[in-house]
Amino acid sequence: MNASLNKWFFRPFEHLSEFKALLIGISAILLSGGLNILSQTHFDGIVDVHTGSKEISSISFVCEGLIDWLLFSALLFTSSLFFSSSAIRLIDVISTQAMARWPLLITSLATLIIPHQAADEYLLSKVLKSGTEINIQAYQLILLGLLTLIIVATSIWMIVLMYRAYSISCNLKGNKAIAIFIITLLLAEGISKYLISHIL
Amino acid sequence: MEKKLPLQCPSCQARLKVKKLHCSNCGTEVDGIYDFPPLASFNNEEQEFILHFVKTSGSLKEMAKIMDRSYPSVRNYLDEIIGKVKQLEKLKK
Repeated sequence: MNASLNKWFFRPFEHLSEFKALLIGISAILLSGGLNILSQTHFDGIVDVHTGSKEISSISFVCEGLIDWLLFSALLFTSSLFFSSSAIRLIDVISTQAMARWPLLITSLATLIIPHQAADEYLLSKVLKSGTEINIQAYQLILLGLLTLIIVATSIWMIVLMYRAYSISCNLKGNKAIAIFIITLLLAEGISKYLISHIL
Repeated sequence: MEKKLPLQCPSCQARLKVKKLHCSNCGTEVDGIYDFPPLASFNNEEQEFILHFVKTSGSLKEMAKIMDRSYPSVRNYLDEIIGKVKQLEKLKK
């Protein structure tokens, strides 16, 4: 891959100032929240993406992304106070983690553009064995498959960015860093799920 | 081609010392055993970083601007150099 592309897609945190990263990150979180209102997509967990309506207000779609970002940043910052020997700044953790979430903007766009509701309902009726007959075309299932691929790819990309953001902002590398990151991610996933389902 | 100052013995990897100094102006030669100054242990990039760091009064923000890098990546680089200095001090003892 081109070095410049690699730099901007996978290692942007080495060059961007904290304010630029924060601006890009918050814009992406707010914009994807706005798109999620239209497509009824939920980011109801640090790395969760679900489609389908749930009885929540429009502002909650935006709040989901903000809770995910702030909670994970706070937990990473707290853990780095114990494990990193560098002088860590909260602004670096928050700004790089915000920017690491920008691939979700692609997810939001994809769920809005690619029609998937009929195929969702069809699969749901099969799983739940509800007995309701839903007829769909093959291309609708293909589109759902394409959307799933995009969601998985952007989620993996986001996790890679989140790890690199954490590694640079907290100055932790190697197996120790990976272990702390995974434990913090799992912990944050559980807490965010609880918070989003109880607060929003 | 720029010559690189060798710091380690190519045969046994031990740290080299300075044995001879030469004045290119008058040809005087000084013979003796001298230690390398600590700064010589760093590569060119690291030496340049240290010089800029002193010139900016130790401002990592200024350094980030000069190097076109983010603040945390400059701080991490400084931490690497600090680690190297500590290792050198240990070796000296």
